Amino acid sequence: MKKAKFAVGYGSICGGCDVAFTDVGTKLADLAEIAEIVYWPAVVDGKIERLEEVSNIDVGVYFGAVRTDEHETVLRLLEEKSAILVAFGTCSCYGGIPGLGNVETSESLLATAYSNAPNTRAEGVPSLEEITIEELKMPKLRDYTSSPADLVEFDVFVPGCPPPVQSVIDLIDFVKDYRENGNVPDAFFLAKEGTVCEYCEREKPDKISIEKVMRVHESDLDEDECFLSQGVLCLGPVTRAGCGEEPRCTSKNMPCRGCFGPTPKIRDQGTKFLSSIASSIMLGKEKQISEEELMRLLTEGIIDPVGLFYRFALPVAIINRKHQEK
Amino acid sequence: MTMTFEPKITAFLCKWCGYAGADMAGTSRIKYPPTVTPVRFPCTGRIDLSHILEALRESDGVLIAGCHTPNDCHYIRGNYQAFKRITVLKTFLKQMGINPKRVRLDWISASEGRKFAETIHDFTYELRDLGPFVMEQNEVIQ
Ligand code: SF4
Ligand code: SF4
Ligand code: SF4
Repeated sequence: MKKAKFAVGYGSICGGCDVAFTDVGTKLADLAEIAEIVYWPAVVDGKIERLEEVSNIDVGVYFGAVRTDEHETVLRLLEEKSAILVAFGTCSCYGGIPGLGNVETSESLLATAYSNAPNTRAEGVPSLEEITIEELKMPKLRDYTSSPADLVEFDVFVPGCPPPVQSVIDLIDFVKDYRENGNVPDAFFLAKEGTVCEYCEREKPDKISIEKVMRVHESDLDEDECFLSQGVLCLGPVTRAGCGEEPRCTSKNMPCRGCFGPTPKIRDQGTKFLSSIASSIMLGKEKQISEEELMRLLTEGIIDPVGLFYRFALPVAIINRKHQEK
Repeated sequence: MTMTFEPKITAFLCKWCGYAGADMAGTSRIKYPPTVTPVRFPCTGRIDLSHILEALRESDGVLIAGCHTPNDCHYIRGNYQAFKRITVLKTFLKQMGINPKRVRLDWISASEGRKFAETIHDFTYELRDLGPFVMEQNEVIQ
């Protein structure tokens, strides 16, 4: 039987998604057996000309978010040439961690990275525009990060930052199934429908009232009790399940940070959580303190809502990029 | 003469106080600028932050008006839920470079028709100063 043509293209990535593939161990050998890897910068060849040349890709996988023109070029080439297009990793599904850059303008991001940060020397900031030096091109840095899923239509979504080993195994099985039976799924999620809380074993009280927002290191955590009821912010209630039989983080005594993105019923993960956390603060006890005191609890308890609640899905939020106002 | 910018306000009003206050302004024939589109809610505690942000995308400012604290809310603490949510929302708006004054919370009772009209006057002036809220968004398929 002919091997399936398999390609992986990159947007704005951290490298973790590549590592997730190597984590499956010997199962990777299965992939090599059923698929011919025609393009994958970390594995075979990373030149864009190579991707332009190949045709009839069976499974095209995209890692990362879209921040430069080049990222979009790779995404569009994969879309055009692949029978099945896979969004792999939270960056590809929702914009992910690189999307946090949307709280700043591109100019100020470059200024921080190249000049203002304490560990850099102030020797000029590169241009935002495309730069060509001899044959080499530096693509234009765009104004903001986009979620690839907003730009093209994917057939399969694999959320997770990075996706768990099981998802990679499922994806490989899926390439096998396509090669043998030609099955093309329709907007298929390698995840569960419910929330992380539904799979979390910690004891949950009926009603949660937070008197003080605590950070992990500030509290003496009870390992069997829900984080939220101990005042530690955990995104379980708004996050899609599927990262493990038991959630990857809560079972290791860390709160969920929301890496699987919003549950299918939620339009905006961060906004939803912001609403529910705000109402949990001093729930039922609001009248015991003054409004000033209540306001202070809220503003001092939650100083970085974007970093906490939109860590993985800012590019798909209702308000998703920096505005310029007085 | 240049045209002055007229802001668009979306107002989320609870049916017991804010909305009844707007009604009172109407029946008392108190004048206020035609800048406001009222939306009636059962209680300010029912307003999710996503409602406010979706409304802000289409307006220049969002007003939320409900029953006075501490004890006027018909559902006991709905007004406090709104107070708490809008407080954290303002931190978020600042981070995103949006002036937090574009979202405004006021307590207006059923008898305060005059206060409703004054609030609209005041908010309209404030938003005229701030100028239009331009929502630049990602290009989205479909
Ligand atoms: S999804 Fe996470 S692991 Fe994968 S590229 Fe993005 S940031 Fe890295
Ligand atoms: S909030 Fe976190 S700790 Fe609590 S039940 Fe949900 S996932 Fe578990
Ligand atoms: S517990 Fe939450 S943050 Fe951790 S892996 Fe699962 S979804 Fe991601």
